[in-house]
Amino acid sequence: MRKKLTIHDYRLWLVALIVFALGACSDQSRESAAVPDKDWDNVYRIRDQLASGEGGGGATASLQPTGWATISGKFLYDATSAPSQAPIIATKDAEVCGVFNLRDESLVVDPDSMGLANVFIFLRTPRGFSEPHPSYSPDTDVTMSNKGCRFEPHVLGVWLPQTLRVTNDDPVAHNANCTPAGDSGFNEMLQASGGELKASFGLDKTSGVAVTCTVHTWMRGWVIPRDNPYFATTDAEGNFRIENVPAGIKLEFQVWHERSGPLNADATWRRGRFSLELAAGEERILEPIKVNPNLLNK
Amino acid sequence: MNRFWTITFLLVPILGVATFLIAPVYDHSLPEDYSENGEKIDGLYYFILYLTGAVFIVTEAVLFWFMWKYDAAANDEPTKFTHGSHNLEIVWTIVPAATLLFIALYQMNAWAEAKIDKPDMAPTCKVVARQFEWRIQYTGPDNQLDTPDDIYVPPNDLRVPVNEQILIHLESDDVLHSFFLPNFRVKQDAVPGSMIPVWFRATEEGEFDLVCAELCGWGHYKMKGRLTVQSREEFDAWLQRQAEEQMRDQ
Amino acid sequence: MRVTKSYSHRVFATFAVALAVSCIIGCGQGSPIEFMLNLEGQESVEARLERARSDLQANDASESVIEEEVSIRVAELTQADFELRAALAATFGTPDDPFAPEETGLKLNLLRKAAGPTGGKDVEAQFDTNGNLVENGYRLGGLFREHCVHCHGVSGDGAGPTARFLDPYPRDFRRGIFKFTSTGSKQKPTEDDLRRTIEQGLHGTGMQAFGIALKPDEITALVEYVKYLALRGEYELALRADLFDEVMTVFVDDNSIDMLVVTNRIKGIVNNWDNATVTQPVPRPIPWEQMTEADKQASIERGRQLFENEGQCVKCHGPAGLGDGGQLNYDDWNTAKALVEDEHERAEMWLLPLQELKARNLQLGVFRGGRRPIDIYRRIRNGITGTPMPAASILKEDDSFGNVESAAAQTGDAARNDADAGDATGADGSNAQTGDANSNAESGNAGSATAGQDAAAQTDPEAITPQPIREEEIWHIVDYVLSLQYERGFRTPTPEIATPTGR
Repeated sequence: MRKKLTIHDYRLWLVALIVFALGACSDQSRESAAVPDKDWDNVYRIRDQLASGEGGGGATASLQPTGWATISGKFLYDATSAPSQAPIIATKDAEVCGVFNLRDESLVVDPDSMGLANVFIFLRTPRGFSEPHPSYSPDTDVTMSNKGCRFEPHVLGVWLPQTLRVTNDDPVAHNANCTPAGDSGFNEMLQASGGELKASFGLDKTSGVAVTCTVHTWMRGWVIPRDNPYFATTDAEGNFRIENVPAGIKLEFQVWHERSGPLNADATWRRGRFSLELAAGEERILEPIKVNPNLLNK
Repeated sequence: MNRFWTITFLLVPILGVATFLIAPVYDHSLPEDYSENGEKIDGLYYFILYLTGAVFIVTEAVLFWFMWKYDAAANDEPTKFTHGSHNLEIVWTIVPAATLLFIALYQMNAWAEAKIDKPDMAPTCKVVARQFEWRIQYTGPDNQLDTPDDIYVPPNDLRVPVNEQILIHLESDDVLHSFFLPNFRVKQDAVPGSMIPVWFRATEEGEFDLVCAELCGWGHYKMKGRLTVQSREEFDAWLQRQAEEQMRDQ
Repeated sequence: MRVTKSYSHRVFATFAVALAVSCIIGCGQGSPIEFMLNLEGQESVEARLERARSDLQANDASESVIEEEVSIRVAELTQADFELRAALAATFGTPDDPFAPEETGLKLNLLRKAAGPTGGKDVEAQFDTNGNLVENGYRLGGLFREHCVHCHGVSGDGAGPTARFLDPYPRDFRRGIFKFTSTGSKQKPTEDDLRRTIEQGLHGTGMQAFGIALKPDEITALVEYVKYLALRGEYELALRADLFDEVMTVFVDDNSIDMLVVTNRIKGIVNNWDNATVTQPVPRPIPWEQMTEADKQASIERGRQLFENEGQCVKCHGPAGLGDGGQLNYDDWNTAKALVEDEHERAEMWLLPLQELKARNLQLGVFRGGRRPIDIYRRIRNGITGTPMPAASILKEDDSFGNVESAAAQTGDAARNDADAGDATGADGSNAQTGDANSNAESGNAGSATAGQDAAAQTDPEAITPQPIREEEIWHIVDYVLSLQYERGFRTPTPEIATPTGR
């Protein structure tokens, strides 16, 4: 005769005890940063070199471009119709922001040309590369404005020595909050109709850093601090153009889009990068780059 | 093995009494008392300790005597049963009852002085217990708490002037805590949602423990403060510095 | 049958108890305590490979190309993982053997005082094979693991065992972001800021005060250790980005390392700490000691106007300062979590669940970063790093707003005659009225500008165009914020408990 298991049965408590003990033991799956024992030689080697200040790499022979060239191209959304942008409901300051017919801007495609907007293409700084072309001036400010309760432009590259101005053209107060990892960023109130803040970056990035507004939580723009001035954001038709690119040295470009991160638009690209070399004075127009929609399905 | 259990049982009163006699040598007895009211509380404590101690010793001695005399190994007399003694039962009911009644009456003043006869004065400060610290604010010049001139001092740092009546408003932000000043014989639960007044008068300058005596969570053991008893001048100077810090704008 | 059954029970019970006991005891003696890799919110190796695969598939790559590519990626990621561990151990050591490169400026003796197991541990002197002294013996103090680790975690990840019961969560040091600082907007804290937080705690959070419990030199050691964990955490994130995404490498060849990757990142991070400058507040319009009760009331009233209009504080803190004006927001440690919608995915990527952030209820009288006017001033002036609280929009000298304001001042002059300068314009107005000829024209101008605005407000409330605040006007907001706690609610006295044995 089998007895029914009740709460008074000690077996139940024993099972509970085992479950508890096993549960107490199972640690969260957090990966230790420890180095395997046999590799501690490497650790001490790094310490020795840090102390002596003598490492390899770093100083490579400086690269001198043979001249300057221009590169341009076009990103196309490889589909028959443009995706729709979901509408955003202005949940704060609706009397001002509600009239702008706000839409999600994470994927913007021109329905006529199928051009893909807001793709950021930039030159990865070659080691030993020294001075950019004199037409790029560190003194020119770049501006991201709050216009119509959205950030304009949506994606903005900033050369490190440049100053970023964030302005507010709306009749309502905004703020701009930006926290790049390892850098200070900014977070300041922007008064209605004319508020402005100035910021600069100390660390270059290869992907976008979000700029948000605390008051209007749907607002989201992107800045990408770069340590060279060779970058461009595609316009509404998907076009980009970078002038006075150093010629005669191997250039590696990288492409970033908000939805995909590094955008591998071509099977030969890795981590959104492709390499090419330009001749002095060359005006290179790339074949239209077709982006498979699956790459942009977040 | 003869009389093994008898001797073992004898060790209980011997070690028990020895513990009490040795404790002061190793500083495990009552902490030094530096308060005005503590003497009465200590007096009560010692009175009850000696009373129960005497009863304990007598009881244990009788117990031992019975065990010694009627040890099964040394006796072959058959066990005898009685139906008890009515007189004896009356005696051992009335004597403890009278003793308890005496204690109940005898302690009334001490209790009233510690917990009922709140001094008629403005509060010195407010102590708010929270997990796991004591937040302290002193009355400003207006002698009232929770007004804009209150002086907020660093947490856990309670200071009072010596030889003056102190009145503390005790509150809790979260759970039950207990405000315990061992050297001043003050122990009072802090109850969320109510203010409980606590008063004492310190008779000696120095730094003393302020601890939590109610298990209030995982950090209970570190809910440790410090009571500093100072001369009036030192206290005023300190409070003045805190007031200046409190309004610091440069 | 009956005998067998009870026998099996006994075997079962013995086995169960033995297993439970061994499990519980076994837990206490695991591998030595190590720093954990910061994998929070990071794309896992599997996810990286999966993305590479799907990207190639989208581009119609052949299966063999995909397999080849994936195998290259696996090798790269394995190498990057090894280099990350080696470089981290080399530059910052382990919890029981902390180390700090010279560039960081961290003092090893202080770190050792804070590091190590609870209760401390003596480390013997080390000799090389020839018997020469390599390093003197020292003592690990174990302070961090004794006092801090149950909330902040061994790695400073703010995810110790008690962390998930707290709101807000304990600070995750690894991003080097600290909320309550005396430095400029979004800057690193000074050592004094960290010391003050440890000594006085953060009212309204789980951070308790250690000023009495610990000795000053112990707090110094803990401050150094917190900075150490922050630098280590920031360095790990930077290095991870370099190694995993940039395909750089720590070891350029078998015998040397890439100094650019190893030291330059540390220098950059340390630079941010060194460059933090303390914000010295501008003086109050009228020194506090000289303010009369009417001045104080006027300052509070002006503060209320700034709170509601120019300062735009109401947008989040609400019209009564109850913290009910804003939208759903998160601090910097939670924003990335909020973007991941699936709860299970979040639980896999982060150590702690998503936690919302509410604007502070200013009526409670609980000020986390301190309740001195200077503390509130800095919160308003510079914002709170790591949270949505922005720095105030301050009128700068070269600002185009200067023109707008002088225009407002001109129109304001007329309006000023009607406006009761003593009440609405606040301290500035009354300052100008005392007829102090030397009180600079700028302050007088601005005072009348506010008068102009107020007059405009009386006629047409819609016409207010919020202006940047002049820096000394922040003091009015400070006064207003500090006055809010006495307005209603919180500061009513708590009822006295009925005496238990009342007579």
